[in-house]
Amino acid sequence: MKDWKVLLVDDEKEFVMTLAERLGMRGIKVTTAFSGEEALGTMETYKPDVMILDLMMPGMSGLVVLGRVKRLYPEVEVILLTGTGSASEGVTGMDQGAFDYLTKPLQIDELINKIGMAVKKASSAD
Amino acid sequence: MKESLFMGKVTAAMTHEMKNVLAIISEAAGLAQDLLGPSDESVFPLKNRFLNIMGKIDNQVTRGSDILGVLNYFSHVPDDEQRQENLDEVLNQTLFLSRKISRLNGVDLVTEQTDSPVILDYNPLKSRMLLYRMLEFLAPLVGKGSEIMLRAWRFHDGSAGVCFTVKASASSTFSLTEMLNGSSWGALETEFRTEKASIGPSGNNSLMLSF
Repeated sequence: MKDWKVLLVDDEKEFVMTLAERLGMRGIKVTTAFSGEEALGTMETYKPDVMILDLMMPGMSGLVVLGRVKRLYPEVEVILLTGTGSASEGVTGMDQGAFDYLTKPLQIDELINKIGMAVKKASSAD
Repeated sequence: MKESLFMGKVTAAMTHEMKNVLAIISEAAGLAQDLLGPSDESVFPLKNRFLNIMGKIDNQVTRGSDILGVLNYFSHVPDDEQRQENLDEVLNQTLFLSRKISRLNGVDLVTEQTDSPVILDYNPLKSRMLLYRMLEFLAPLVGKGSEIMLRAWRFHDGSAGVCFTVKASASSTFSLTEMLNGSSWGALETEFRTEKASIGPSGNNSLMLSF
């Protein structure tokens, strides 16, 4: 878990900062971004194993960010966060290359489990 | 139609916002639990009380999230003027949305699932409105401690309906037919006819809604 590098992307700053602290307490290296544009900028110099990406953000939407990430950095696995009860957005994202999706509010153990599986997939592709 | 679409659109956006609020509350409570976890009770004597409170917050976040999930689905119902739906699922959602009716009247609302799906081809907003309307009418009529059971029904001609069966509380007995005589049942029948649906008695303590 200590070697896992995660980029957490969501425009809800309080959510991002709190979740980042919780993941950090579990030994995960977390970098944060508050928009799709900022996330793509970060990735020019920092390559995470896994990106946790909110789907509904102002400016560049999560699905657009997902498309760019999968084109430019196919080795990075993306876990999508959806705010609605419907699974359709998450499934659409998986069709476009996302590793998986989770619905907010999150269960931390479930998130860590998914990050672990995504890291495993990312490292087996190396 | 335009109005209900607008209402649905705004409600969907608001449920999304509320999910984000719950997510922040959930993470904040989780962080507090994480911070308290390793602490010793001799250092922080209220540790267990705080953990208990955080657990309550967690439970309410889950409850709120479930409600928002159904509300979000409901907000998209007006998107189609006609849709084929599994009637069991429609009944489950409607009962979830009718919890207030159940709580205010002290009546249990339950569904009995069918062995094979009954498909309803109807206006999805109207079907829910008619079901809700029936529950709004029946719950105060049958009274506290009673049960209203809903079951999807397929008629011989292939059309769909819902059977409402009422059970009195253990301490009372009643005849639904007699109760309907002293109620505004006639007005309700007319209201349903204008929506191209019909309602009528079906046995002693049952009513049938046909779409």
